[in-house]
Amino acid sequence: MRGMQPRWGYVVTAMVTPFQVHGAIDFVEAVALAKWLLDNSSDALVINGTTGESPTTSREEKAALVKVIVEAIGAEKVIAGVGGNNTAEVIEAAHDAKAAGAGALLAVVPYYNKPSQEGLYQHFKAVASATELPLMLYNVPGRTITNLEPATVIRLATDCPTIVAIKEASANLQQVGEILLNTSESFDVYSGDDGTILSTLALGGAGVVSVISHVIGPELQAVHQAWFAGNQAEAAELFLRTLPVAKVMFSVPSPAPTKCALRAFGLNVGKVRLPLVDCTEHETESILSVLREHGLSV
Amino acid sequence: MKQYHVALAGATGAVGAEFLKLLEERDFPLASLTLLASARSVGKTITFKGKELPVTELTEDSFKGCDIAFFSAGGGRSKQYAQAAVKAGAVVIDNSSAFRMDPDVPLIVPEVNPDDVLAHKGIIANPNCSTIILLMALAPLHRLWPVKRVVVSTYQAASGAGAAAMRELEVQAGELLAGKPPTKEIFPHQVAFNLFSHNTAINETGYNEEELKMVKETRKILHAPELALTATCIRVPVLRAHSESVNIEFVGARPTVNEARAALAAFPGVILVDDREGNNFPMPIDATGRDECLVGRIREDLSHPNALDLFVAGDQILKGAALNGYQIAELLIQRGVI
Repeated sequence: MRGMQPRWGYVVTAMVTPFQVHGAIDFVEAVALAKWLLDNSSDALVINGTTGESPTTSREEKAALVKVIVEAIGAEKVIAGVGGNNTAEVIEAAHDAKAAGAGALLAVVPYYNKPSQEGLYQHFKAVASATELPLMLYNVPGRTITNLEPATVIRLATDCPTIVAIKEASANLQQVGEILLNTSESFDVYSGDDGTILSTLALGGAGVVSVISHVIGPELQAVHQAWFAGNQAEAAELFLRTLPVAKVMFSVPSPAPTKCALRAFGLNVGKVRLPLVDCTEHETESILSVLREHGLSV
Repeated sequence: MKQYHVALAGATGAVGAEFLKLLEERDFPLASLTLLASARSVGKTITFKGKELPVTELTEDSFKGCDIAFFSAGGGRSKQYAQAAVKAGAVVIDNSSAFRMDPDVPLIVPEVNPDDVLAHKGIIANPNCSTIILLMALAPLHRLWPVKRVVVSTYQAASGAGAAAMRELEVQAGELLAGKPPTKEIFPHQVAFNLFSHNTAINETGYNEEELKMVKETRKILHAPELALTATCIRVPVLRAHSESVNIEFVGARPTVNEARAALAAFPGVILVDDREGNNFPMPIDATGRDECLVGRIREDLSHPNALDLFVAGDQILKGAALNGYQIAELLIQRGVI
């Protein structure tokens, strides 16, 4: 069954980056969090993704973070975010991630400068060729404006042997279907939206790159286990239960709600860096009340 | 899920309080919780999950129907009451030194020798805090590169002598900064702005009890009776995390620094803090309140071709005592012992 044995497992968590009180990265807490996530049903981690506040961490910080996490959990579970909208810088970031020991790369569609499909093709081809590491494409037109069209994905998957997966967060299932129809069995399609997990699996998807898996990792894992065991009704029931959590975790700009929830779990992940701001008391209360209703002790 | 009747002897102490916090925060599957202490604490109540629970007197009849009895009330009380708990059908997790070297009592660090719990006969001992913290740095290396000899020097926090000792450090610091003489009640020497040899008795060998515990307990936990180990235990003016400087000589060739770093970083309960460029290494203040032990300063011993040096810091009350005990309770459930 397609998607059943994905390269990075079913639940890949886009990990938040813990900060100390004065704002520096808390590497000790980052390692503790990485180990904790693996203990709580994450199969692999994206480090330096947007959820890891990559827009506001420096090149040096990114490399140092990948290094300590790889040392702690092993390269095969670490996907380093290297995305950007300057191809040359993305290539440098890929070299940095490789040198820091990352097992794979995640590169988002270049944002703001609106490249053509040909531009996107050449961009990703250049990034994929920069190292021998496997690369996951990341399509999220809600954040980048430009959509990575299925035809371009198929072209990249065919031409570049290291482009082995996509994180699809367009919420466009027709597009997901087109990619799955026209790529090889070994090309993994991960849902990049917590709301399209089950529909992606239904088409032959591999899993999810998730933010809410910080909070309900075991439940997301259970959705996948049920699905691939052939228990569709159970998978649907479990999946539907996750929707209120997914909604509230994006009720204010992410990852502020996730950091707020993790702090309530007793993990000292600190606050977010500007231009993001931390949850207000009122927002915190509504987030925690949804989590409590969900049965979590926070 | 099965739920368990738990009794806590020493509920009003520093370790007892931390153990309660773990039961509460980590949602231990509790059917009931009995809080026990000496007669003078009877009448007190402790808030647990929003309820006021009474503290009752520790007696031989305290353990009826109890599945797990956690003792942290000193060696004397453990010796006096642990057997009563065992007779009542409970498994005792004892934080004191009373039974640690008893051959019938497993001495457990769950990350290091979890299988030893299976041989229990009613009592399981929680090791000495300095031993546990040493083992968190030593065991990940020993299992890959057998260790021949260890030289360890400790920098031990006030908390090892109890909650009152932590207060004494704070009070003395205040007194000294105010130009007053320090009040000495718990420790034999001034602890603020000073350090001194560990406040346990010294025997004819010249070693104090704490140092000898490290030697014997480490050998027992690692099943390595031949392991050579020498320790110097020092009390320092730190509140609640112990640090240890460790020199490790291996039987064969030593691992490279990078091999040792990888083995330590991958070990559960260890966080590698070994940033030479930033001069950022384990500090007791960073280990405080944290489950994991921090390990760093990993370097080849210049004076010996088969030895490495490293430095470890761990929270004395958590991994050094309450957390390790709590993890033993979890292990008993996982392994189907209770």
